[in-house]
Order: sequence, then C-alpha cells, then structure tokens
Amino acid sequence: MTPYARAPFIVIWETTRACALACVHCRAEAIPHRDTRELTTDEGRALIDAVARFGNPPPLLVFTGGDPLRRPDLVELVRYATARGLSASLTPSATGAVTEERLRALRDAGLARLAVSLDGATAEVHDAFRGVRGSHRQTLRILERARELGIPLQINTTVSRRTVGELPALVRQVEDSGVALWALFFLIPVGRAGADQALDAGAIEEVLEWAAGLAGRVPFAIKMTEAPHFQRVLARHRGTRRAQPAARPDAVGRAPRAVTDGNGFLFVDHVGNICPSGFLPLPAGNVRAADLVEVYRNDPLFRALRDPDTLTGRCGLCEYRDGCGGSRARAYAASGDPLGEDPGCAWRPGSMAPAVAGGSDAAVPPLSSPSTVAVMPNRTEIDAALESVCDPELGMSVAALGLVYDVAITPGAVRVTMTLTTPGCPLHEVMTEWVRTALARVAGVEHVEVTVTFDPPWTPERMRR
Amino acid sequence: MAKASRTPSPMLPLAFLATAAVAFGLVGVALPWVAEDLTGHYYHPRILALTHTVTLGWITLTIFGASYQLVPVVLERSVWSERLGSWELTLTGLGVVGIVGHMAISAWSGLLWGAGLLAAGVAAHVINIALTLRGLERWSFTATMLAMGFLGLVLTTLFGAALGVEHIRSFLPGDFYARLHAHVHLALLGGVLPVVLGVAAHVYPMFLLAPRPAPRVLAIQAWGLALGVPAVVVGLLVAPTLAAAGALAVAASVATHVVWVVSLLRGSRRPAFDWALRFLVAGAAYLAVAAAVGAALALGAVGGPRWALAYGVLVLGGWASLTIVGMMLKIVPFLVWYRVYAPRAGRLPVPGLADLRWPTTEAVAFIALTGGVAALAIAVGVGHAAAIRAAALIVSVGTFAFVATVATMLHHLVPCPLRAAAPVA
Repeated sequence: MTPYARAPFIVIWETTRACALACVHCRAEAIPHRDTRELTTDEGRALIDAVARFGNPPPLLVFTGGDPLRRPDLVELVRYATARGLSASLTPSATGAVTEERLRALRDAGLARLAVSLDGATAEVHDAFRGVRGSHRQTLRILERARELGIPLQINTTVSRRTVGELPALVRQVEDSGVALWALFFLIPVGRAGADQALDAGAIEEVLEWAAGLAGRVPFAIKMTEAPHFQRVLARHRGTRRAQPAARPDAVGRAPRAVTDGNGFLFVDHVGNICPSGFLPLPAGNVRAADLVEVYRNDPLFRALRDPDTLTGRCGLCEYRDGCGGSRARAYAASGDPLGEDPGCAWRPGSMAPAVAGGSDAAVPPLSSPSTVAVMPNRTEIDAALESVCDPELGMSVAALGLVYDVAITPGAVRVTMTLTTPGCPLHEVMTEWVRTALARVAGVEHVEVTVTFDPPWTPERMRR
Repeated sequence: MAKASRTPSPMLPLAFLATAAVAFGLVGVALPWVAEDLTGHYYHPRILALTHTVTLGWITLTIFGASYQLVPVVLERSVWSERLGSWELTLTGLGVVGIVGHMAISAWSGLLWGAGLLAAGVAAHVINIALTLRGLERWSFTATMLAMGFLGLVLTTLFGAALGVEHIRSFLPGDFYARLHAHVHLALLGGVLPVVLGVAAHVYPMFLLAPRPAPRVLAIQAWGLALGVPAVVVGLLVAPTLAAAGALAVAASVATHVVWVVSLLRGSRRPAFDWALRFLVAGAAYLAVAAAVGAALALGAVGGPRWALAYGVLVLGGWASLTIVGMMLKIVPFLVWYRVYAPRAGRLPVPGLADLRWPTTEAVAFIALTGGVAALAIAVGVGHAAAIRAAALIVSVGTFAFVATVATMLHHLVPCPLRAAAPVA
C-alpha cells in the first residue's frame, strides 16, 4: 500500500489567483485582482487546522498562487500554520512586493522555506517566459535577501521546450544561490500552457538521465514534479553509480517515494476546491463543505489515483508502477483519463530499456551529462545522526538507550533495525520518523529504511554504560 | 512493521486531566474550610462532598482521561469514538458538580439528577472502552485489570445511585454503615486499585528503565483482587469474617505490588529520578501503610470513626492522590509535547519533556502533599482540631503547587510565534 494512503506528503494551497506577472505557461491562469470568492482568513485557518489533522508527521504546507503575497493576511497564516506544527513554505511571484520587511516578517512567523522561480540563466529568457521585464532581476534580488535573512531557499524551474536548453547553465546559478532544493516542473498543458510547449517522452528521459547524474555532484537536492519516472531512472542508476544528495539541510523533509497527483500530493485552489494537484484540476469536494482529510483518504478519485491496479496502458503494466505511477496530470491532459498511461514516459514495461533511449525532438537542445561518482554514507556521520535522536522523556539518545539493533549501509541507502523500550511505546511513530529524518540529512543518503522489531525485546542491559 | 497511528488527539485526555486537576485544586480550597468537620464523624454532608470531589472529580476523571491516552498505545487499539469521549467529559463533569453540590447542602432529592448524569458519563466511558477493546485477542495483565477496574466503577456508580435513592425512599436491606463501607471499598479496591496496578505494570518499567514484572508477580496481584474485592464487599454487607479473608487477599495483592515496586527501584537504570517518580514511590509507600491499616480495621485490631477517617486520608490523600499526581506529571507533559513539539521533532530543535516542567513547584507539591497528608492522617486520627487545620493548610499548598505545575505545562498549548519560529537545526 502506498505510504500516502493516510496523509499526503505535501499540501498546496492556492491562496489567491491575483498576480502581477503574465507567465506564458501559467497553470492558474492568474488574474490581476483578487477573486472575491477566495477563502477568507478564518477559512484559511480552518484549512490549516484540517491539514494539521492529517496527523504526525504532518504534511508540508505550501502557500502558492497567483502571488500569495497579494494576500494581506499571509504572515498571519504562516504564523498560524507554524504554530500548528506545520512546515510552511511559500512560492511568491518575483515582484517588488517581496520586500526585505515582508521577508523578515515571514521568517519571524516561522517560514520554513521560500521557493522562487528561475526559468532561464539570462534575463532575456526568463523575462520572456514570465512575461514581465525585470522579473529575472527581481528573482535574484529575492534570493539574495532571503539568503541574508537565513531563510532556507528552493528554486523552481519550469521545464518546457523554451527553457530546457537553459538547464545546464542554470546549475551554476542554483549552486551559487545556496538553495536546499532545485525543483524541476515538467510543463503540463493546463491553464495557459500549450501542448506545443511540453517535452515529449524522449526529451523528458534525457533530462531525467542528466539530472540523475548531476545529483551526485551538486550541494543541493533535485526534485521532479510531474516526472515521477525519475524514480525509475534513479533506480537504474543505483548499483553502478549513485547520486549524492548533499543538500543543505533545512526544516523541510523529503518524500520517501514519488509524490504524484492525489498520491502524496493534495491541492486546494483559491476558492477551496480540493484537487489531486494543480495540474489535475478535478475537484473532489470543497473545504467549505467537505472534510479535507476525509476527501483525501476516501474520495473514489483519490483512492483510485493511489491504487496502481487501476492504472491502464503502459503504466498499468509497468514494473515500476508502485513507486512511480506516472504523471496522472499528463495522462489526463493527453487523453482525458487520469488513470491512463503517461505519454511523457519512454519506458517499455518488461523491456528493461526505454522505448526512446535519449532520442528527443530535434528542436530540443541536447544536455551535457556530467560524470558521477559512487558515494557511501559515512558511518561516523550515521552514528552522529543517531545520537541526535533523543527520547524526550528520558533525555537519552536512541543509541545510548541501546534501541538500535543494526545499521546496514550501502551506497545511497541506510537500513536501521531498531526497537523501543516497550511494544506499547506511545512514541513509536515519532521516534521512527525522527530517526528517518536525521539519517536523511547525512550526505550520501538517498534512501532510509527504518524497521522496528520487538524480537528480541529491549532490556535495560542494552543501555550504554 | 510501522504501525498506523492509534493515538487519539492528545486534547481529549488533556481535557479530562485538566478538569481533574481543577477538581484537585478545589479540594485544596475546600479542605481548610471543612477542617472543623474532620474532628467529628466521617458521615457528614460536607465531608461527603469533599470525598466525592476527590473520588469523582479528581480520581475518576483522571482514570477516564488517562485511559484515553493509555488504552490506544498500551493495548494497540484505536479509540472507538473520540466524540463520545467529549460527551462523556461533559456528562461526568456536570454529574460530579450536581452530586457534590447537593451533598454539601444535604439536598438528597436533587442529588439524583447529578447521579443520573454521572451514570450516563460512566456508561459512555465503559461503552467506549468496551467497543475499543472488542475483539482483543490477547488479554494482557493491563487489559484485564482495566476491564476489572471499569466493571468496579460501574458497580460503584450503581451502588452509589442506590444509596442516593435510599435517602429519599428506604428500600435497601441491612445496616446503613455496612452499605456505606461496602460502597467505599467497592470504589477504591474494585474500581481504582485494579486500574492503578494494571497501568503501573506497563508504565513503571518504562519510566524506571527496569525489567518488566514476572508473570507470577502479576498473577498474585490479579488473583488477590479478583478473589479479595468481592469477598470484602460482600463480607462488609453480610459476613464480617468473609470481609477479613478478603482483606487478607487484597493485602497480599498490594504487598506483592509494593515489593515489586521496590525491586524496580533497585534495578532501575534511570540516571536521575524526577519529582514524578518520587510521587509514584511515595504513593506506593502510602499504599503499604493504608493496606496495613485497612487490614487492621478488617480484622478488628483497631476500630471507630477516627481510625476510619485516618484510613480514608491515607487511601485518598496518600496512595491515590500521590500516585495520580506522579502519573499526571508524566502524562501531561508528554501529551503537550506530543501535540506541540512532536510534529517538529527532527526538523526543528524541540525541548525535552523536562523542559516543560516547573521543578520548583513540583518540589513544593511533593513536600507539602507527602508531609501534609501524613500530618492530616495523624491529626484526624487523634481528632485534634488545630492540628487538622494546620495539616489541611499544608495539603492545600501542595494542591495549589500541583495545579500551578500543570498550568505551566498546559500553557505550551497556546500558539506562540517565538516557539513556532525556533531556529532551523
């Protein structure tokens, strides 16, 4: 069963559709002024409460838009979300509204990460894509100020025919920006985005291969949106070489498997409609009338999106469907069937090879593929990470308590077998998740597996003397 | 092998425990006022009101709240209905107010609506727990003792309601005081003691980092109560000899528990004892003393209302209250931490449970309650009015210090930007 059956990994709230930019690909089809039907501040708080009710660990909450800074209550909402134990991120539009004063207020309210869009290495490409001259300059200014204020950063890049050639040049800029995560959004033809701007399967495959190799050489993590088959590419890379996610740590965790529309991903639009994602605008209810948790867990659409047995076409036959599942948004955009095959994937199920091995459209610029090195996580750092996880009642680390039975380290992965002081320990989930999070921060660790066993049961003799 | 979350919202048990703490604070307020009454007979309206504030408002609400925290994790069952739990708190709380208020003013006819609300609250709890435990495959010692305790509480409630009706229309056979004594012992030995022993068997080794109890230790405790409590209650009603035999069985159960606690303390690997653990140890010590006095009363070695009152103080103020204070000082900070800080663990720096406590007030509470209860038991035993007033004041200081400690922990639930914006690790 998917780990996201009970709670999504990330919840995106489209706080408003108002935005001063005019991006050519805008999913939200943003408008200059705020919609009077937007969720109010109280409704926003209720939505945050609903997100918190998903349980522990809570989903990440992203305030997006439009431009979320067009809401005067944004700082208040971020503060409220943080107080409810949520990790709140923000994706503002790169405009003059992102002042140092507002960034400082957001930081003080507990903002966990700021994500800004950078679609081209030059102002010419970026500004043309965003539709407003000066947007590139504003983006770099925001990055600099946020870095000075100590706000963890993320850069989002939309991957389309127009921008794919910029990716190699963007790597250096992303690295210089000191970000924790570079998120590549593969364009889905929804909203103002035309199908002619989307990459085909071969081009996507080439980008994913390039990114899988790149990941071992850069000090930030790389995440794909609407390209879950990156998991398949990474899996194929394992064994001979391994990407090193030496990302700078921040307060935002990373997903243990591919997060796809409705499966780990939840989107609430500006009027409260609950959708599997912003790129799959199929409302399954509205937060004003329906329970967000109930819709996510039990709505038939959401359940189907999480059930690999419902997939059809190549996705239904694919050996990677449990960990990937394909882009449901792209399938829907292409065929009108959210459970159909993802036309953006080149894989031929059972063939052990892509149908289009790196062969992309002639119009798409080629990408250079940097070489990679195998990285084994450092045992000392693993031990230090385990020492950082303390039983809050006893004030002792899981290592000192003798709760860790075994640590197996392989390139890119750590498997921990541990126990708890008693089978009925109320901290069962908290401690295992804490161990998982601590280990995920160790350089070279891409995958963490924590297994809890009570055989043999813990005894006080296991404590470190 | 990760398990799905079975932990209910921490706010449900916290609501019960906070209400119970308020009741304990009210006991502290009332105690000096009724000090004069404690020089007389224990069957006095204001003493009855005080006693029921302790047994229903303080002890029963704590048991209900703690069971909503412990049952899901100890028995690995999801609570059947948290909403029913909220209703239960409302019903029980109003019922306690009705019972205590009418007892204080000797308005027996009005007592019945309070008893009805309380009975509804108890029924809601028992139904909720029964449906939670439905289909439980393995009845551990803790599960068995909890079931035994809740059965005892149901019978105590019915018995108490019958005693209330008896005030308006006489229908019960037998001696009045025999019925009263049976009601009290059914509540304490049949309702409270099994729950405390069952929970202790699970959590004391966890708190003390000590080995779990041996099966024979658990068996003696369980059989001692299973055989002893019915014998004590029935014996008090109809056959004093049977009551004495039952008292010995209960004493064997208690003695085994106390010896086990001592062995835990000897084998503990915990680096330092906090005030909560000191309260638990003090509670066990009071239990040993109270059991000895109770056995002496049952065997006729001592007797009379002064010994009975001292015995009541030792049981309610000593064993039950000190044990509950110790448990609460463990459970409340954990629930608050779980609610406020657990979601951030691993992502942001989070405090430990010790950081949520206020050791100074805990120390004041410990000294005042352990010393004050002992002084009060002796004072009521000899019936010395000035000594009773002084001891009552000391106990009151202890209750206020405890309530202040709980309030300190609970204030972390209030959203605070500074806490929320802790620096990134």
